Amino acid sequence: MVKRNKLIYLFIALGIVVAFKFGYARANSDSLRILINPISGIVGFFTGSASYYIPGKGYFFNTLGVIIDKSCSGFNFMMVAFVMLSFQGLKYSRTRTERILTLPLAFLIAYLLAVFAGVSRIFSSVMLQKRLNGLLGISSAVVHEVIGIVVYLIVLIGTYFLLEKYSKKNEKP
Amino acid sequence: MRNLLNPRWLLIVGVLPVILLFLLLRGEYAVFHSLLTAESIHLWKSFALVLILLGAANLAYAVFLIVKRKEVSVLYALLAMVAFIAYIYSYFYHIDKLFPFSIPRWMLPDRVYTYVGTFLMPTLAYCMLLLVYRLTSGRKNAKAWVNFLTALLVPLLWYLLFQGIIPLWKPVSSRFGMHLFLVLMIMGVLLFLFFLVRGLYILINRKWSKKNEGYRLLWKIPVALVFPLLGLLLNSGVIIDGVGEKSAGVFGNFSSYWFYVLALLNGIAVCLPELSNRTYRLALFVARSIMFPFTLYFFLVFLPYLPLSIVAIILLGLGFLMLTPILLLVVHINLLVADYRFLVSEFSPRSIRLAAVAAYLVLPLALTFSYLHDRVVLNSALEYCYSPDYSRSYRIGTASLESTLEAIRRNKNATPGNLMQKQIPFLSRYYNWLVLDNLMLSESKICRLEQVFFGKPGWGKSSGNIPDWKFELTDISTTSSYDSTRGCWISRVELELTRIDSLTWVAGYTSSFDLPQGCWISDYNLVVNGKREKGILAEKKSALWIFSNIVSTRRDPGILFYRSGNRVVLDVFPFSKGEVRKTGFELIHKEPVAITIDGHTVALGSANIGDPQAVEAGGAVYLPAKVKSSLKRLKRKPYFHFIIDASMGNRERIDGYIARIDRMVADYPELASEAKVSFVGTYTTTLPMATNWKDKLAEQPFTGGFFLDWSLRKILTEAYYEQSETFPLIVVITDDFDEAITGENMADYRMAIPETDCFLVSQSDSAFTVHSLGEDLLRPVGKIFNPDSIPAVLKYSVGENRAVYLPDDGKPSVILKMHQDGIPADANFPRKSWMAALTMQGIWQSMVFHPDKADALWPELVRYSFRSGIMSPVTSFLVVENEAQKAALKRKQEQVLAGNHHLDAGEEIMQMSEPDSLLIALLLIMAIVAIKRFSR
Repeated sequence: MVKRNKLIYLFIALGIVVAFKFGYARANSDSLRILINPISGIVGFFTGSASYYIPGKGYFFNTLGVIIDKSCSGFNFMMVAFVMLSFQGLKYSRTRTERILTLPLAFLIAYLLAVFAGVSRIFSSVMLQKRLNGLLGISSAVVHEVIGIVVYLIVLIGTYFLLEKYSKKNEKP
Repeated sequence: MRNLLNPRWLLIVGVLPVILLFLLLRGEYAVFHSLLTAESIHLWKSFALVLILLGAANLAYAVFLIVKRKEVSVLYALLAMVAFIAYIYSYFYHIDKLFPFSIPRWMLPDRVYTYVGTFLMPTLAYCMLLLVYRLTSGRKNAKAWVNFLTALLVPLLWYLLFQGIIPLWKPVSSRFGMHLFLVLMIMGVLLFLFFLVRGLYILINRKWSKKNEGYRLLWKIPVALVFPLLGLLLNSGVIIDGVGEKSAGVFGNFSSYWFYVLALLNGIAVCLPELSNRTYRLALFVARSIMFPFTLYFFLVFLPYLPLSIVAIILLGLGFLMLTPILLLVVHINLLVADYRFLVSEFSPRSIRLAAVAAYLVLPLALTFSYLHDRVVLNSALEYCYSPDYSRSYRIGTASLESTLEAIRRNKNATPGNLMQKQIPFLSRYYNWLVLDNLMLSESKICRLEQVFFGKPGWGKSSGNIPDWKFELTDISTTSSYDSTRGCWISRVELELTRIDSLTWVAGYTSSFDLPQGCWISDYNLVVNGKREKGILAEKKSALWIFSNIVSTRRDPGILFYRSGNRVVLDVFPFSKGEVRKTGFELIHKEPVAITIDGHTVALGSANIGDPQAVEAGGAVYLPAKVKSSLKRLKRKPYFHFIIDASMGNRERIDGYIARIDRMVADYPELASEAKVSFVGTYTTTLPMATNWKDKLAEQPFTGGFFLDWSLRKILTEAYYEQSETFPLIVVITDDFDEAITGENMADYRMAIPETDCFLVSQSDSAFTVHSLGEDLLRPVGKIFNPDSIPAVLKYSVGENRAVYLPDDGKPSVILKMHQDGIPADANFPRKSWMAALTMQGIWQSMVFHPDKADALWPELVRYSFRSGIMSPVTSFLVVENEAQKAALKRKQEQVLAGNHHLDAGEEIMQMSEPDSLLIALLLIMAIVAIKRFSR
């Protein structure tokens, strides 16, 4: 478990999440382009679809009939991943410097993971959603949500156990 | 509560909902019944029969009691409860057979599964309240706390059951076990709710001494004030998620501040003390009556979720908030009854009842008026954008439009996002019915309105890679024969399409081609599974909606429709790698024609039969090339018509614009003598250049977007109706032409200026570019402007003082001789006749040049197109796969034809929203804990 001297850093991480959530509630797609741009670019590359950027709204993929906007930015995922990585990093940190470095590093990794998970989620949705609707006979909202949850959990759980394995290996006896 | 014993209640809660449910389900069944198996059809019929029997039994019992002047008995409550629960239980048990996977989900309305729960729950709730009253009233020793404690025992017992007994349970058979478990659950829920409501009933009816009167507030404030507000906050995620999106909730989107304000007012009305001053008490009664629909609304919303309340209490302590609406309803009704009893001794009962009815109507009427206001604002905005009367002056309140668009977004029923409800239960449906005629305002149209009225940015430029799907027209065969009874050529074109790229995913073939003047499509077919399927003629929007939905599930549709002008689009879906598919269509034409599809030109018809003559029908005149060649040839004089970008943020550019115009006037003085100038923002103001236009320009408000589409249509319409020996040469003066609000093109207006379809765009001080009205307006066509090369035209007289000018191109032309207000009475032409097609062309051109009359003409043209069997710009030919798709098309078509034709059949954009962060975090923790335990 995270010891007391590390708790302060965990609270800082949670404070960052709360602050970002406040910002997110007031943001539009333009403010989240740091996430939306790479996700839309990679989705466009893999699906071979052209996209239009609508300022304030997001990327519209005409041929796919989907829009990648604020709600698809992967921000929520990034926040969950950031808390998880901070927790893990702090758990295995030994020095003060390591603890200080944990948060920015966790943030960076969370960003990269968010882009990866976002692309995987949207790509899977585009490719599977309409087929699964027809096959399973459930509404596209449910299929979309389920695909999102499955992809996010796979990425998060995978990352968690990979890091656990790596950290335990490097832990001093 | 004694009033509950009145048998008339049975008609309201036991008969009416059953009838409504029956009608709703019958409507759905009519659409998809052809997709059901014999077993499913049998089930549907059985359920329908039992439903009729339940409704009939309720009706018979109610009538019997009314005639005999008797009250509803306990036995009825018990029997009805068992019967209705058995029905609901059995319905959900067989839900997979009633709505099997063979029914595509887009054919079903959003909440079809909850219909049974929603409509039969009122009977159950009524029976429950009846039982509480019958088994409590008159028992003075009944204790509230005993009932609350008994109610609490139910979730406690369940908890013990889950923890202790279920793990040891060895069922006889899994099906028996499941049924037993579910029956126990239902009984548990019923007992829980019974004791809870009973406890509350005792508490309310307890005689409080004056000294202890204040103690009432101890339970009133939580039930009426704290829990409802807490519930609203919890539902919208404010408490848990803190600062997340407030656009959705678990039980509905109650994010509007009005819900909080009303919850607060309702709480205050319920909590205020019952004083004996008659004026005060009357005011209190009216206030409580006004707020009663609010309480009733939340009761109805939460009714289907009541069985979940115990589970919610066990899993999450906050689940008790789900019970607030039922508790509040019981409290509210009791208070109203108490107030009424007090007031009838002071006032005449009739006036009290009248006051109550008037008060009940306040909230529903306020809501309805607010929705109607939204409808008026939306319709005037749509009318201005899409079907304006150019002679009228429009001024649409932007603040009001902004709130209307926000309300439309809030009530939208598409956009699958997450499991959270984005709609307001019942009210969104009412809103969509009242404001949007059950149709939809697509995101692109909302975006267009925002662009026009608020100057918000529109669609950006395309980027990325377009899939490199390749098709080849491997065979094209034609047959033509002259039908002397119809007086035209009938030509059939058969196409064989082959996909030749090597990409993996299935692809769709899309091609467009121009039909010559006087040539129309009268049939369409597509080979599906080796069988040639005939196309059905449908309203265009409905057909495109059905087509996109079928494409979503990868079936075999094909569609043919007019894009703009005479350009027709052919879409066939799907093609797997290397697949060959066959499709074809039939054309009717007066003279031999040639059409080009995918680079292949085919000639249809041979030498002319007889001497070609001008033909007139429906206000349109068909002029063969030979007739045209005998017309008078002349050169008309062009004049500049400057369109200045007077949209938001361009005020500081005025001087630059004026300098550019001055320079053009100096360079081409012969084009400037009769020049006009239009200032275009949201609205257009046009002046002759001879006036003090520069001063007027400075006075413009510079608001909204650069609505070029509107001003171009106005200029072209005026040019068509004026038909003088001068014509406008349009010059657009702007610094950012990409931000101009335009439609796809102006091909339908081509006949307005037969000399040229070009216009000029000046975006900088140095030069201007030439654009085409018939192509993508925003893209230059690479031509060089030369006023001396403007060709001569042909003059055709259509009356004593009026002439129409035609291009001198050696091809036939169709002109609008006289505007039409409807289908002419004498247009009774045989099916698929060429004359009927010409009549439709006249109507369509009337719609183009008189958009203000388009609303009335549009349904007439759709129906005339169906009658004549010929495709028009408002209809399309569609091949669907089965009867159910045809039924769905018919239903959508009926909705579309009954509504405003600027609204849309469905949403074309799907959001890719991510799951909720709290949900992900919870699942992550659970998964990690579970994996760790399992791996130990």
